[in-house]
Amino acid sequence: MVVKPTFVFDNLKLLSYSHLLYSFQGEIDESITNEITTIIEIHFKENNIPSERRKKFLLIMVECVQNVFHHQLKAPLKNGNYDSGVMISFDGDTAYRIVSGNFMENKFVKGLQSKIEFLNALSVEQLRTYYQESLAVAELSEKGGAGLGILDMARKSKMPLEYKFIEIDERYSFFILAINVL
Amino acid sequence: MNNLIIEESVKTPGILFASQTGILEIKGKSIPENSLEFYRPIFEWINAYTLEPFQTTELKVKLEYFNTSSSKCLLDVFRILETLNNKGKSKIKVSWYYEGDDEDMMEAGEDYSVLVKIPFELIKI
Repeated sequence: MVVKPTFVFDNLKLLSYSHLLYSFQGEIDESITNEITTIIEIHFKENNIPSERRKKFLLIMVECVQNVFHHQLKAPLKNGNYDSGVMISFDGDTAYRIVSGNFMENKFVKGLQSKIEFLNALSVEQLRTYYQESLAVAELSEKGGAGLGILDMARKSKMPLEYKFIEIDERYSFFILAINVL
Repeated sequence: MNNLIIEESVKTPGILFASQTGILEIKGKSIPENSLEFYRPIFEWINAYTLEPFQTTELKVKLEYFNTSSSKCLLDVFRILETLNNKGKSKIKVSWYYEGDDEDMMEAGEDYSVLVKIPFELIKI
C-alpha cells in the first residue's frame, strides 16, 4: 500500500466532527498538549463551557496525546518519518471529539483490539472498579506510561471508544482512536 | 532535614513539604510525559522524612487534574505514608481537595481511599 502524504489527515478527518479546532500531523512531542490546551482554553472560554467540562476534556486529551507519544512508530513507507496525528473537532453543539492516529506493529493489533472491545463492554461502574484494580498493580514503563491510558479515557468519557486499524503492509498498521467528550 | 520546595510548572505540580510541621502540600496539574523523573526527588524526600517524621503528617492534595502516569506515582506516595502510619511513628491524614462540580477529581480521591488504608478526607472547595 502506498501511503499518501495526506494519509493521516484524511483518515483522522473521516472520524472527526465537521468543525475542526485543531489538526496536527507529524511526530507527537511534548509540546503538543500545551498547544491544544491553549486553543481549547480560549475556545471553551468564548463558548462559556463550565470548568468541570474543560478539565474533563483536557484530561482525556492529555491521556490520548501522551498515549501516542509513548507508542508511536516511524511511518514505514514515507522516508522514515514519524507520522502520527491528532485532530480536535466539535459538532457545532455540545459534543467534542478527540481523534488520534499512529503507526504500530501488526503483531500488537489483536491484543489492542481485544482490550478496547473488553473496555467498551463494561458499564461505567465496572470501568471504575477495573481502573482501581489496574492502578493497584500498575508499573511504569521506561517511557513513563502506566498502561492505564486507554482505560482512563474510556472511564472518563463514559462513551464507547471508536477505533480503526488500517493495515499498511505485512508489518505495520495505522491505529486510529476516537473519543467523544460531552 | 530541609523542606522540599518545587515550583509549579505547566505540566508539574507545586510541592511544599515541611518536615517540621508534617504538612506536605501538592497543588496544580500533574501531567508530565514521564512522571518518574518528576516524582523521584519527592520519593527520596518522603523516604528520608519517614526516618524522623513529625508526630502528625498531613498530605494536602490540591490537584486540578493529573495523568495516569502521575496516578501511579501518587499511589506510591500514599503507600509510603501508609507504611509510616502502620509503624505508628506518625499519625497520617490525607486531605483531598476538589472543586464542587468536579466529579472526576472527587472519584479519584475516593479511588485512592479504597486502595490505601489511611484516613482520607475529601474536601469540596
